[in-house]
Amino acid sequence: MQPRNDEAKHARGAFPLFPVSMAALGLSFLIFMFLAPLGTLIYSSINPSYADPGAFQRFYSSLASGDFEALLAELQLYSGNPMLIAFQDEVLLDALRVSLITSGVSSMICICLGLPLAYLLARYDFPGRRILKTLVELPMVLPPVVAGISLILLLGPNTPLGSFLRQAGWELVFTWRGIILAQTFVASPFFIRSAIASFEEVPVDLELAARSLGASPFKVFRSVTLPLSTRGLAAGWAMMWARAMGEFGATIMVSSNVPGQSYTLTTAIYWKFWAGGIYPSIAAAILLLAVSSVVLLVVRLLIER
Amino acid sequence: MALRLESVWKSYSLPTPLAMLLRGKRRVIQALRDVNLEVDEGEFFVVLGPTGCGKTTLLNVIAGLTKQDRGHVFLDGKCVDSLPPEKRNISMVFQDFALFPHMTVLENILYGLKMRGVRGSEAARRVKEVMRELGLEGLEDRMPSSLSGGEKQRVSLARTLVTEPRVLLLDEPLSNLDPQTRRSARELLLRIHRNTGMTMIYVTHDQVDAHILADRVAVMRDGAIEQAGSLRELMEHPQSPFVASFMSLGNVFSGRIESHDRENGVTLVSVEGYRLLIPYSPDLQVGGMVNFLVRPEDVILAKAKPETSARNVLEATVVDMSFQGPLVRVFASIGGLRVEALATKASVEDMKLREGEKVHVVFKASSIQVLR
Repeated sequence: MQPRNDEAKHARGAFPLFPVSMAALGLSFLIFMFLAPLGTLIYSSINPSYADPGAFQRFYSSLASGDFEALLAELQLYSGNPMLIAFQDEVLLDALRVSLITSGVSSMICICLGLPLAYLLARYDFPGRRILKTLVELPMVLPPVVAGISLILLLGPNTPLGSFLRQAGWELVFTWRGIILAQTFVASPFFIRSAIASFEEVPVDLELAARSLGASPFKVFRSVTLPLSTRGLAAGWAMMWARAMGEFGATIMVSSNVPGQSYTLTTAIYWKFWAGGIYPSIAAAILLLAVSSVVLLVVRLLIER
Repeated sequence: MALRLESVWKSYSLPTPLAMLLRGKRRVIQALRDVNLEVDEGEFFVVLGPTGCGKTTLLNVIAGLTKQDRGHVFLDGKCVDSLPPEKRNISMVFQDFALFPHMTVLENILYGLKMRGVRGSEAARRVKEVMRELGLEGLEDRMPSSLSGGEKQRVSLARTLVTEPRVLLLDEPLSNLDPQTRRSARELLLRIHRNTGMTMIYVTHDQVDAHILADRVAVMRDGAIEQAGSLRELMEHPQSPFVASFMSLGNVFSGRIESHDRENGVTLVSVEGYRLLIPYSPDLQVGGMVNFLVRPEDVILAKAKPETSARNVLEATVVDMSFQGPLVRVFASIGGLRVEALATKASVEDMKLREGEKVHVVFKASSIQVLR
């Protein structure tokens, strides 16, 4: 652990119990809340007989002794391995494709429409601003299922708006479009909150200075406000996208669950699990975990560059 | 006349959290009240006033960054009320410099030129000239965060000067600098003003700035202009107790008018129970209140009671003495009154004046200035 400055170094020397106890508590939180469940998931994905306690013992002892042949045998890396088969499932790859497209589109919608809203809420004072600020955060505390119900009530095939849109050839609910709406609804607060905070951090004086130097409001936004809030916006976008990628509650209610059409990775995990195939559901979960963590990591690296 | 403000009013409404939630009620702040101002071509105009008196709002209204509620702003005789800030050609130097942190020094300076469509060799020539004038050569590629306070201040000045604005506004540009840098920055501002002949409006709470820089001064208080004129006019004929005390001109007293003595040309005033004589003036109404100024340099200190009739003589106690080179600032108190006197070091030593000792405070009625 590296202290952030000299004062922290002195503080550590004066009272070592404090950082040590903080580290102990933090580490145990990390292990029990994140690493243990995720580790089990990852372990189970490479060892199909994960639930067999003997298998774990054998896996560990062969890993410790460096007996690779025994290790490979234990992992059952032969063509009949149910895990490998699950990863080759076309339905799963289709679901990945749908998940990537829908979350990509919903995060784009969020940037196009949420960004102006966030700027409005950060910069302008108008009646009802606080209420609106609370409102855009509401989906964070709302159960996603409620979002799903609301969308069905608004746009379902038998509702006034829904039937009108259906006649116009725009079926929203129970198609991939519905998934995009559900993801946008549930995940947008992650972006908007972060965008408001990063806009508010840009000093108003800088914008005023730019105006007095001859820049129009649009040019000020483009040349001063936006570049100074890029990090916050990118971080917010990544969180929003990851939330959309992992969105399940609202998605399962508004999707038709036809493979390849509106079948996201999260719903795939669910359906595969109930269809009895634990391996395909583990495979779907691993896929989701891998894609999301890679994107979050890349964004983090870009931001902290 | 470069700039004229005609009866400008501006108020802000600040939301108070609880009241907002309940009834949408707001607290109203009157930032500018009936401000009339005329700034001449090429003038260095200093607006002097305490923090929160509306100085910054005044600059924002002139620059177009804030829209006034009532009144008009004229630039070269043309009303610019409907012009957005980017079309006014008025640039502003901010108190905290407001340099763009994501741009280099050069990019900061080029910003205004780019926005105003000045490009190519003309832009390069102007940037080079300004950077040389302000001693910024070699800092082109530095980021603002790596600059010292004085350098930041010069970059923010360069950034506005390079656009050759019609009027340059400066919002307490020296208040974030250390005293030494502040002195050289004042000299720099004076030199720039002399060389360019640019019309400048400078707001500050520091009267030293006004003494060194100003062609003309306006003193502001609570959003209104108390008095405007040359520094000498303000010093010699302050028109209000606020101007007199803000410019540290001396003792400002307030008293009730008791009676007139037209023969001797004096009026009797009671101040905190003490009777003082001030010059007679027909517009002083018996029974009314009057404010007047007694300058420290007009107060004479004496150990023995002097024998004169037309003088105000008070027996006081020395409270504090502050030695300033050959002069001594003596503070004496008489009951609730506090009088500041300026004496020479020699006379203080002659009288063997000490804190806690009795002294006679003497000032002529004719040296007193009646304030509105």
